[in-house]
Amino acid sequence: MGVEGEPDRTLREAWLRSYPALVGALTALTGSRAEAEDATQEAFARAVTAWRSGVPDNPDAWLRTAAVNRARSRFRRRRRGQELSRLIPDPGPVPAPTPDRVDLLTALRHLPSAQREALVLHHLLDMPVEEISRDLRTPVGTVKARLSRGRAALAALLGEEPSTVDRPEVPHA
Amino acid sequence: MPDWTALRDELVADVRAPNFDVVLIQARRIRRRRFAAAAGVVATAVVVPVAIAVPLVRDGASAPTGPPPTPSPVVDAGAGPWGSTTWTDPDHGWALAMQCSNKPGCYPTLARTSDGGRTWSLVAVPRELAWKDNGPLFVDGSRLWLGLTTSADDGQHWSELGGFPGGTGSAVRPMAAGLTPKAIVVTGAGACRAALTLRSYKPTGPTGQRVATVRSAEGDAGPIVDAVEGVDGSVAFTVGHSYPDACGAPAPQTTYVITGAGLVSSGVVPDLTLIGYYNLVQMWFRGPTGDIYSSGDAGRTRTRLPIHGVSQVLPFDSQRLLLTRTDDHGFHLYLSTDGGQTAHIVLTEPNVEASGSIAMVSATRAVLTTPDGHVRRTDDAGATWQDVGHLPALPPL
Repeated sequence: MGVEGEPDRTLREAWLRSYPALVGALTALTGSRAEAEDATQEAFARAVTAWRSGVPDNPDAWLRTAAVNRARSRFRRRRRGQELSRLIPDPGPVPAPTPDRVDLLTALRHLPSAQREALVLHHLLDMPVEEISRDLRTPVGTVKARLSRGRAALAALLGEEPSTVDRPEVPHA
Repeated sequence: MPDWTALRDELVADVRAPNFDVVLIQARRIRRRRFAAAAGVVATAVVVPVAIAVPLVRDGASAPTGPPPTPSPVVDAGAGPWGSTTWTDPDHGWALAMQCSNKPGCYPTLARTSDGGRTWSLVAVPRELAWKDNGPLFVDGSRLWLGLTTSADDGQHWSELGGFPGGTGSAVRPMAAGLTPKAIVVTGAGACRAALTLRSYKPTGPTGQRVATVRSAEGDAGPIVDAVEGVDGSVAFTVGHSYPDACGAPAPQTTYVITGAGLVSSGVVPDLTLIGYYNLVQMWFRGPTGDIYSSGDAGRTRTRLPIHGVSQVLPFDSQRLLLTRTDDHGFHLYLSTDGGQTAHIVLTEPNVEASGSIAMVSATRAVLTTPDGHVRRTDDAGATWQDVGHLPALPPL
């Protein structure tokens, strides 16, 4: 095996830094921890090839976009994930989720996928609306509308009082 | 409002990144399959001059001999990023490479040939075309497509197809014939919906309309798994999933065919994956354990073939097939002349890291390219393969 180059070094660092956050967010997006792990791992695997000639300007954004795209193609990933799962040791028992988390994840699953995706990208991956707009190739106004409707739908599903005024988007650095 | 911070903390609390080598192993597997996606896989192929006895038989199958599997993670063997090719006719074709750099990002690089792959010239692509994800390269008449971005002037200017009712889609496959005007099939956005949109376009720019939305009896179908173009201009694709997920009830996997006359369902094909398509009726499927099936009635009935473990079927006609298989000994290309009843190796490549792509160009010609730019060609429907040229060195970004 050769000396590890810059792309692999960057990827290895990103792996340790970003893997938990991506898996967590994609778990909320797909409703499946296994699918979230598959999507995240596949995004990194694609980066191994894609970054051969150099690392993108924003590696974390590249990986996040790739992971979310992988999560969308769930059927295809499911087949690959089944094969990959044979390579990965069983991580052992996973702590049981709290009732609040179960409720919220269940409610998220009942949302239209576009609203769920907007909420997860914005609130769990800290993406500004403008960045979501670019990634999804969707107008900013549409993203804001999805966030607003998604929050309202979540509130209804969770038995909370819906906000009468749209909450301003969380500013991001 | 939900406590997103608490949810995020809880979701990541028990997540531990596996060993990074897992990623490298998966990268190798993905690279092996890059073929199977759109045009097929093959490698820096070592031409095997003598046909080898069929190692594809289902029972007691013997893998081709070769070096032992490499236990170490994938290593960059110096292969370049050249990928798929697409052909207007036997002489005129395009090749795609993806290059990345620190700044300004990742971009596609194109090369074209007008002599069947012997010589190639690079085509400058505008820097605005940042590569975001895998999108198929294909050419439809004089129009070039890179995913949903299209050029009518040999890659000098590009415009992006947009404005889908359900959000952004992704190109699946061109419709080469049988439709007026010509069109491409795209999937609509929405993970739970296989909204097929047939986008027609005019020379002055993309326009289009949705012509079909696929829904299963239980509700929305799953996403499109894959789509393959037939020799008659029809396109076959598979949608659905057999597992419950966030979208609701399982949607049985179904193979559909779309033609100029509209959408045709071939019925439920449970747990089978479409891996080969010749025309409206002739298809090949792979089962979950690697069994291969052929169908002569658009998938309604299937016959299990004695071959096993094939990842892709690339038909010259209904009987003469190229079959690809990758195992721990390398990448293998087989030829069958009896519809898949028997097959023999025509190419093998122990170094699976060098796998590239194969394009079916005509009734007798197929072209394979490797990531480092080797171009090989068969003009006798897969029986023999020759080195014909080399793709150019990629310019620095």
